[in-house]
Amino acid sequence: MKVGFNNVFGYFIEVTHTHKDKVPAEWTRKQTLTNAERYITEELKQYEEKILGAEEKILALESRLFTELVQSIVEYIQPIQLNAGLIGRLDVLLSFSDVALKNEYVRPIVNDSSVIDIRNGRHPVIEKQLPPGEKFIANDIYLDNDTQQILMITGPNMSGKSALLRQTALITLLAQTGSFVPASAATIGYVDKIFTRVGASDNISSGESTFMVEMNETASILHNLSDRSLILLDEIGRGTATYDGVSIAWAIAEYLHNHTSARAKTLFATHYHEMNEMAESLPRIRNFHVSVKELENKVLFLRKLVPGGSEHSFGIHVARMAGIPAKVVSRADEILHHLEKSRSAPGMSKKDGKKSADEMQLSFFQLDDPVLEQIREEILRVDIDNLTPMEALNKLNEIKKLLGR
Amino acid sequence: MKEETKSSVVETPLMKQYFAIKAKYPDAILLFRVGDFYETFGEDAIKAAGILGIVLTKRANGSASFVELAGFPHHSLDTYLPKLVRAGLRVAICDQLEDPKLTKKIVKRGVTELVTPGVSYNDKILEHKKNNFLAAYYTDGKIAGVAFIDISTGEFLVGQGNLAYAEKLLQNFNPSEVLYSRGRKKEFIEQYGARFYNYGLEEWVFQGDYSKEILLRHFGTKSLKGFGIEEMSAAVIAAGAALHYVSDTRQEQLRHISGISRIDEDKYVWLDKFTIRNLELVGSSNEQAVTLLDVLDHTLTPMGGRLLKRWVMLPLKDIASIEERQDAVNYFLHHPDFSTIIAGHLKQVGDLERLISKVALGKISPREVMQLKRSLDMVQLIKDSCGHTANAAIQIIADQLNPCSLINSRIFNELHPDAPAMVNKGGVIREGVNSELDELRSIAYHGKDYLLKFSSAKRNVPE
Repeated sequence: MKVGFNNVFGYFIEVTHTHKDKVPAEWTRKQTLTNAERYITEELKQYEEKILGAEEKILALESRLFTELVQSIVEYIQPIQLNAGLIGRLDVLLSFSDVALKNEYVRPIVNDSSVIDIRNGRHPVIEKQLPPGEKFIANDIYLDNDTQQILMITGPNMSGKSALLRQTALITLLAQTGSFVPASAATIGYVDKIFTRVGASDNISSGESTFMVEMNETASILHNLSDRSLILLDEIGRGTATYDGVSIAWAIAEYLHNHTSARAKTLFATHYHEMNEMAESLPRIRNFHVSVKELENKVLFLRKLVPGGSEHSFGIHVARMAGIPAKVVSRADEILHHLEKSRSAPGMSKKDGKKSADEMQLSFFQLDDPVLEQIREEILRVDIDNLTPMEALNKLNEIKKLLGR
Repeated sequence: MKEETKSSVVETPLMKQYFAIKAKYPDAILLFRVGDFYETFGEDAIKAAGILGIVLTKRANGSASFVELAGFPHHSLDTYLPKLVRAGLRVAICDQLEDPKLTKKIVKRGVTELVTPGVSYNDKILEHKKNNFLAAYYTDGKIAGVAFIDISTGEFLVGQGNLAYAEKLLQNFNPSEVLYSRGRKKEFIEQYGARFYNYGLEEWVFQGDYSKEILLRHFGTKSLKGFGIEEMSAAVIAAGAALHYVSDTRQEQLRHISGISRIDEDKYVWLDKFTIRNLELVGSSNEQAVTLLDVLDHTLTPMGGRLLKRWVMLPLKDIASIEERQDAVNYFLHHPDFSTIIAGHLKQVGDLERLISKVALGKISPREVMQLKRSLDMVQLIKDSCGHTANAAIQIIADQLNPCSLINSRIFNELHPDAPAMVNKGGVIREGVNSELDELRSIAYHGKDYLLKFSSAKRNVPE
């Protein structure tokens, strides 16, 4: 036999059938199981009451004492909140040092000069994502308000222009949070505003007029800039036709350069190498390009920023690599030379643009190959202002088909 | 559903009570405690069953009418509540307010808690290294005020500026819920669309006098000058609305919201919203993208994680403050042994901020009080270690840390070292704290001893 407990009738005595005839008469049977009977007795019930009563009282008492304890902690809310803030602060500072150690950051000099001078700067996020063995290409960036206010950075797509812009902003921002920075040395004349605009074309799917959005956003920069602003303009004007795009980009750069009260430091990334001509007339604009090396039919992105504009567009080179027929590519080269010659005059007036278009048409009429003739017709029929990038690709495909490939 | 049953059929008293309470919370899912279950009815049940994957059944409601029903056991609340809140629902929890044993009529019920995405302290809903902000937004068309409250940490912040500044703040702090005045719903939706989970409050809440009054009453002060926001009328209105909402949705005390701090526009670098997005500072439209915060976050405490995020969003302009931080970082770098010691201590500090908030809300468990105590032990150790440094910034932290020894030893003396997660499990209080408790325990234990003796004594009788 044994004493057990369940929720239905509390403590009970269980006696197996073999012994049940020995059970005293005053026990009350409560339950019969296959091989045993369960009984309760008066004595057992009395104890049960005492025990269960005690357990209930214990819980009530413990709960009251606990509540009192919590009430007394309430008085410490403010000092404990203060502790939490201080511990958080200590934790972040220690975290900064840990990151500085593990990722090889240096202490930047932050002062009230108007210079941003970053030596061997790296992109803090990208450098952590490179495949093992690959080294991040560090770059120097120098900006100030008097000699080198605007960097005009040219280079083909994929060459790392955008990453370079962002890394400059990130390093500046990190410096002003008190963190160390991914560079070999850095001097940051503190900035008060950071603006960023990326030219549209990345959200073709969204359907809205991305160019309109881009221009709205750019307008808000031009209204809010200050002498200590850092501005990143990445492919501004890309969302519209080439002529419009170059003209707008040109005018914005000019505005930033000639602003009377605020010489905002600007990094201007563009693949319009026409923009390089601005440096000739505007003294605080400097040309840089992201270097690229051509190896047979490969383009090697060196990702190194070097002074000077880029000589020519890599678009045609990329077209060749992509397998566009040689005839088309060589013709494209010819057209490019035409355009470059006709637009070489500084100032970029509308008239120049018009003239070059006339020249183009003339030269097109001199074609004699019937297939090229047909291509000419196709190209002339294209309404560039209303052409989506998708349609342009389709058109290119059609032209390719005309060549029988 | 409601209309039909009301007009045509006689309802059971339970359902009558349900609809009376539900009428006060028309836009929330009402979890209605019935015995050991939380039940949902009608439309709520259909929604809850879908979100939680629980069975939808029907329940008779008086003569010949049925109502949809879905429910779960009350002890599973912690499992199901976060799912409902994460699905963007407001959840009203309706409990039995009296002991069913003590009443012959239907038991009294009432909503004890309204949980919304922005008002939550539940560990299952919150992320350690993220604040869970509720925001209130107010504008007169030109000047806008924004207030942020994190009920789980007790932080209360306000900012005021032009519309672009308010938008930037909202983007920075990324609140889980934004309150606005119902009268200005159109403007709010035009500007923010569905970017935030939002909720319109009645217009009268957004009034200068009311806001000021509710803030003064809460802080027990005579003016808001001490917080430096007396003159920021739009910010005060937003702050009042936010406080109104949390004190309305929570019946408990909010003593952990002990101050209000001002986000000073001039103090921090202005990062426009495109910059924050484009630089992928703390978040990205691309889920997989690694953000600056991901690379930078080597923090060891939840408080550090949350603060780092704020520092990244709000870079400083004041050179002295920047250099003070740099000096401390530099000190750590050049004292690796010291850094290791501090790191070791920090790892053992719990979420002090959220633990103390639970104290104020009356939601802390015995086990969590023990965690609080252990964290205070670490505060003492950190204070001692930092007290001997040659760095001013770290020295200041050491000076200000308050190990709260008095309460620490009280917890140590009273609370059982292996305190349970729930009070009703017993074994919360140590022996020797309360003589009555000790006596009752001895009865309970010796009673059991007696039963064992009884058991072996009787064993001999039948044989």
